[in-house]
Amino acid sequence: MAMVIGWLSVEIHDYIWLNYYKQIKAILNMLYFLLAFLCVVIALIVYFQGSGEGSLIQAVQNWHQQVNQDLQKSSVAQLKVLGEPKGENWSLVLNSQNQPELLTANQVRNICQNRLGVGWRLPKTNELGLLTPYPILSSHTYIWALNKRDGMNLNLTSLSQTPAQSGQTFVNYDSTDVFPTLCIQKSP
Amino acid sequence: MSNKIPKNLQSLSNRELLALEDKILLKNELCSEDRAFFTQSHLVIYFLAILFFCLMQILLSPIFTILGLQNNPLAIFLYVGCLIGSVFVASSLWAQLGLYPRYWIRTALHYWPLTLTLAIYTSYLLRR
Repeated sequence: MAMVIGWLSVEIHDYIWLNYYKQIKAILNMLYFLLAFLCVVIALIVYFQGSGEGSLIQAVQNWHQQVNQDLQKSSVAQLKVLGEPKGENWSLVLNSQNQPELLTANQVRNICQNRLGVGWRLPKTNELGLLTPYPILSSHTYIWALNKRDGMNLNLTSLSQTPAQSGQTFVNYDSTDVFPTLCIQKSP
Repeated sequence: MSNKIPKNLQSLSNRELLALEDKILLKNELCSEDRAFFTQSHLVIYFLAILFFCLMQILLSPIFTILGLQNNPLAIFLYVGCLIGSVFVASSLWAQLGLYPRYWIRTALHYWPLTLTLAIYTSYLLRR
């Protein structure tokens, strides 16, 4: 039965191809010419489909952010503050995990900027566990951002060490990335 | 289609027609422009050429070690020569096969579903 079907299929293909070869070639040539216009049409359709989210470029960027945020939310680290900062004039200004929603790095920066009132610059470096408004380590104000998957138990009562020495890891981030942050201020 | 065959072809017998077809196909086997659509015999030549290329390379490379030219860049000429030579060897072997073996192989390639089915059946039978 398979052999009969195989033979029949070859014969049918031969019949069509031999008798209508010229017409098929003409149609394919027409399609090759139309392919250029079809690409433009398909691009327009995709653009107008994506424009519901603002524009195609924004949709692509949002997709990237959404994927990052979903990954980060599914692997959110638990910060357990074992001891509030005491002495040495430290105070805990913000613990993003106490917020109802997870905050992005941009939101954290804005909140801390509003509460602390300093101009912030977040350097994109592999500086371990440290975000400062100044390129040089400052003893005044720190934002601590952690993206360790197994969480972190922090004892903030002893903050004599700089965060770079305390062994926390922090990698390059985007402003829309979501990770638990602590905003700590040390008054001068 | 049968109305358009001219008289000098109509006078030929089946075997003579087969020989004529075979002659034309052998002439234009590797040329994609003049090749007939319904024969995939160029695949046979590609397969045989790869086979002969490997064989020639394996058999001729000891020449370099005998001459003391291990890891010599001149081996590239051997490689290129085997590439070109394998095509000639494969096409000459294909031509030497004979009319009927070529016809059978071409038919098997043209009706490839049948060939594939038969190959599957025979492999199944051999395993059993």
